Amino acid sequence: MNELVIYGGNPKIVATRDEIARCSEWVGQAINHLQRAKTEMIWQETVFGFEIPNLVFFINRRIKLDEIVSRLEALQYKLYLANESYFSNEIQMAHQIENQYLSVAKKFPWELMSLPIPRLRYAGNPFAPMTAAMAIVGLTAPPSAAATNAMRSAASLAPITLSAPSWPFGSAFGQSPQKVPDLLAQLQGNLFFLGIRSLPVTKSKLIATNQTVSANTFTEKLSRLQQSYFNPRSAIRIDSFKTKTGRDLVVYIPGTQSSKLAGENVFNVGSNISVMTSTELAASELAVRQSLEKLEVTDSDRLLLIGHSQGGIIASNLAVSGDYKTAGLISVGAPIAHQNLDTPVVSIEHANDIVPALSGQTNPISKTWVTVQNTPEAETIVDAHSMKSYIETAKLMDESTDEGLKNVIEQMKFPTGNATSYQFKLKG
Amino acid sequence: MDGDVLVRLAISALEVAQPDVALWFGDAQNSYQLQLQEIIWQLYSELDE
Repeated sequence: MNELVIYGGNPKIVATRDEIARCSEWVGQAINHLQRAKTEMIWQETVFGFEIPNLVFFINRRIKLDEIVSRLEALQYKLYLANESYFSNEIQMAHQIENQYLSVAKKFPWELMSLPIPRLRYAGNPFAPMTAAMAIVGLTAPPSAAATNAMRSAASLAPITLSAPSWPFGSAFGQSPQKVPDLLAQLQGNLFFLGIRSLPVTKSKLIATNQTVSANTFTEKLSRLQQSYFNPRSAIRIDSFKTKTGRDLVVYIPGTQSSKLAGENVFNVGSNISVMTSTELAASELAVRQSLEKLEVTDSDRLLLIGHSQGGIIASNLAVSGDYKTAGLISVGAPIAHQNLDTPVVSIEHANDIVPALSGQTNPISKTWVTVQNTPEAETIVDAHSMKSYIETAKLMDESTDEGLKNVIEQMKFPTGNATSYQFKLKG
Repeated sequence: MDGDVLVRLAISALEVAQPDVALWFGDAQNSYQLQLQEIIWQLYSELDE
């Protein structure tokens, strides 16, 4: 399709959905009362002591009330249109996830065929956390036999988890919005309890310092993010710009690189589970924090975070932690909808990439949060999740004139000009 | 039911339909609120006649 769908970040979207629905409901009630009032005859007392209908007053009031009802109906229609824009976005996201499941199911039809129909309608959806966990493991891990198996398991569970009674207005995995991270926290707890995982011990080492210039376009920013995956692995890049009051630090955080639950590469599957639970137990997040400590980040420094997949979740965790002065976040293919972010956010998501949907809810629509969706041509879901594919979307974004996108980027005030680039090797 | 009572009920409903300023942004809230207020006044004047 290669056509961007952008929502949020636009001041024309004026209120929360619930508030619009509430106002619309009360305006509707007023209309009902007035419709009834129009038909009530107006009686006038005569000198003889009895009442007669006053047709002049009746017709006069009816004309006036007709006009008022028309105005109220026009107002209610405007509210309806505003509300509709929210609903249509949610429905669109719901269909998107459904399509993702179908594309998975097509790849593993035997899994789907083996499921008895009643199970597809299982109401309680206890499989939701497993699906989410399997999908996280399977999709964000590098291609391997383990990742493929995890994907197969997720595919076999998806029909059950997608058949929640509240679907499509419920969350993506049939859980109430905050449940997926909560349940992953349980999963993590079990892994610690069973001794499969232990508390991470990490190190961050500055390995290179270079002079550089700002990445001004989305394509340039995402290209740098892609480069942060390699030479070496398990590393992050931080570009530092001097400002009048301190520094602007642009932090590039890559995603999963190792299919292990722990190990030297901190961007591993174990970190994937931990970053979703916001418990600061992820080796990758700890090591990113250590890197920021090495740069002696203070309140006078602004952070601009750019992360792909696991890197996007880490970035959102840093932003919500309140430990840093975060001026903006660009998340690429990352599930961050569950985060209560008050910093300007650009979420770049592919409709055929299931990872951004793993938070189990849709991104909020607000003045400070813009979501950019694209459906690139991709043979597999893993391809749709790749940085290469997202860079193609960034090229379209650079050509976009969308007001919401422009507004949010302006709020971030990305630095331009010369900078010092630091590369940190992160070790688990 | 008396027509005046129904108009009063409509006014009450519109009072509740006033925007919660914490949940609205910018000009849209003013525009919506002004239109609503104008209609409420029209209804009050209808009762006075």
